[in-house]
Formats: sequence, C-alpha cells, structure tokens
Amino acid sequence: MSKGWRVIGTIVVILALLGAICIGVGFITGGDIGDIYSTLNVRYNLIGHWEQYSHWALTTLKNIAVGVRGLW
Amino acid sequence: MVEEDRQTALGMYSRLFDDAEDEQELMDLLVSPTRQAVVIARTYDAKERRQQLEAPEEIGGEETPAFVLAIDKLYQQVAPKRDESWKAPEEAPLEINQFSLFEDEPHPIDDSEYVPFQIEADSVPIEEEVEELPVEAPAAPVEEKAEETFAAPAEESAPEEAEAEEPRDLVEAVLGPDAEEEEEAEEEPAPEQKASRLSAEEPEEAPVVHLPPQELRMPERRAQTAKLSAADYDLDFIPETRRQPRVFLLILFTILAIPVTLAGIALLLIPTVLALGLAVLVIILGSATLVAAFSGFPKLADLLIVIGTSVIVLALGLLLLWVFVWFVGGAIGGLIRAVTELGRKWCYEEVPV
Repeated sequence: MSKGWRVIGTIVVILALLGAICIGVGFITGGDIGDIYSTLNVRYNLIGHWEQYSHWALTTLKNIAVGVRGLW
Repeated sequence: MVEEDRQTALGMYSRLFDDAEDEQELMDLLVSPTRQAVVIARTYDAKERRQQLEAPEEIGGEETPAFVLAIDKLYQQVAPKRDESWKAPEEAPLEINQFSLFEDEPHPIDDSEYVPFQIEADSVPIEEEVEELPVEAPAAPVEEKAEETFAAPAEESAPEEAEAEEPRDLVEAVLGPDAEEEEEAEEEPAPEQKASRLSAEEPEEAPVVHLPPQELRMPERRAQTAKLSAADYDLDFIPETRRQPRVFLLILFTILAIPVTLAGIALLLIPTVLALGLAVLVIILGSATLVAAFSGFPKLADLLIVIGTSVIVLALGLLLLWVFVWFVGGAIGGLIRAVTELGRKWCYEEVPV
C-alpha cells in the first residue's frame, strides 16, 4: 500500500507540474480567462446550466427543510 | 563466635605450630586456614556456647567445647609425644579493636598485631577456598600456599602420602560425611593431576611439575562446560508446537469483535464513498474540460491554459480515486486484519506437541 501511495503521488505531482507549466506558458503567451469563459459559455451554455443547477439545489434544500419541520 | 573462645582457638593453633615436630606435615594436615575456619564453624554453636559461659550450672557444668576437641585431635596427630605438656592456653586479655571471625563490624587496621587464620578466612569466600582443597597432588602449590598463609619455610618438596592421608581423615571426620563426599567429588583428579601426583610420590625419578591449582583444574572445568554445552545449551533445538484455541475466550471475542468491526467498517465507508463520488465527479469534469479544449479555442495560449487546468483536475481525480482504493484495501481491510490478529493472539496458545 505504501508503494501504491508512492506511485500515485509521483504521477499526481508530475501531472500537476505539467498542468502548471501549461497554464504558465498560456498566460505568458497572451492567454485570457475572459475569452476562455465566453468561448465555453457559447459552446456549453455555462450560465444556463449554472442557473439550472443552483435552482435545483435550492429547491431540494427547501424540501428537506419542510420535511424536517414536518417530523417535529 | 565468643571472643574468649576465639582467643582460645588462636592460642591452641599457635601452640600447635610451636610443638609440631614436622611443620610441613602440620600444614598438610591443616590444608588451609579456611578449612580450619570451616572445621571450627561446624563444631561451634555460638548460642549454646554463650549459654554455657553465662550460666554453666544450668547446662550441667562447663564442659570442653567441641572446637577444642577438634584442635586437640590435630595436636594428637602432629605432636603426640608432647601431649603431656599440652593444655589449653590461658585466656588472653581482650582488646577493644580485636578482629572477630564472625562479626561484620569493620575492623580498624592494626599492623602491630598479627592475627593468623582470620585474615585469610574473611578475605576469601569459603566455598572458593574449599574448592582449592583437593589440590594436593602437586607439592609446589601446597608449599606456595603455606608460605602465603603460615609464613613457614618449605624445605621438603613432597609430603609423604601415608602420613598425610591419616590426618586428612581426621579432619574429614570433624567436617562430617557431607564434606567428605564433596571433597571426594572434587578430589577426582584430572589426568594431569594424576600424573603430577605420581611424580610427587616419586620425586627422585621425575621432576615435579609446579603448576598453579587454577591451571590444574582447567581440563576438568572444560569437560564440565562441554557437557553443559552439549546437553543444556543446544541452540539448534526448536521445539515443535501447535496452536490450541482457548474456546471460551474465542467465543467471547467473536461475540464482541463482530459488532465492533461492523461499526468500524460502517464508519469507514462514509469517507470511502465520499472519496469515490468526488473522484468520479472530478475525473468527469477534467475529461470534459480536456475534450472542450480541442473543440474550438482560436488562440493557442487559451488552449494551453485549458489543457493545463484539465491535467491538474485529472491529477486530483486520480488522487481521490486512490484514496478510495486505500480506504477499501487499506483502512477497512486493515481493520479486519487487525481484529483477526488480535483474536489469534488472545484466544490461541502455543502448546508443545
């Protein structure tokens, strides 16, 4: 099990370093978070999905609260 | 020992040396100061002697102490012709700092007075000294010992065997049958000792090898050590055993261990499932981001940022997945193994076959 931790840890550290290098190079070469967000929003409708999921979460919490009150 | 008896014994031994016809014979007879101390100690009852001295009429009059008789027997052996002149010496006046054989009080060093016997007897453990008694075979060690203890000249090299045996029997009679057996056991000489004894009996034909007593006993001790090594210290011997359950403890442990283990597993399942859910969610998110990166970013810089982010998220997902595996295989499995091992340790015992 300790050997598994060592292998997985090594892989995770390598991937994290690789991702950090990519992000760093992207920002250095002129990358922009706003452009990425707008592109993803156009393609995947992030705002719509966010509103939809947040509404579902709020409704679920309200139902749970009503159920707990009913138990009392 | 009562002080006046001690003085009496000292005086008798002193007279013994004065009247001895053959001093070497006397030393052979006495063997060692420690032996004489043992002789006196075995014939001396301090409690009874004190009662005799304090109230002789209650006991039936003052009779001759046993230790005086023992020394008297020695005197009979050494100086029988002067027996008529023998009598117990007069009691010497007691001194405050007198050294006593059987008292533990520290004795102030007084060089002006020579106290024979007691110095050797107190400074050497009795058992060790008694072990050295059988070193009768070579003549030289006896001479050396005599020079050390009695400060007597050693003119004759070998004692005459016939004369020496008879006094030893007398001392052994005083010591009792146990001491005789011990001495016989110790007097079984090694081959070298027998050779030395033969050479001591025939001094004209072969020179006596003067070996110290320790070296003479070495083969004997080596033989004893070898016997012990072979019989008692066999390190290669591993007894065969089998595990036998203690039934009552095993049942009790099983009844208690099953619910405790199940509760532990249930507790551990919560983080396990949580880690699995998070791992799946993060891996899905990372995969989706990675797919999206190649779907239509016009700038390479933006593409690199999205790829970097997705790689980090996938790494996090991999870590969470491993945490889940660790919970299943390490934590829950470890809990079950630990409980099983504990039951094996408590509820089983090793029994030799």
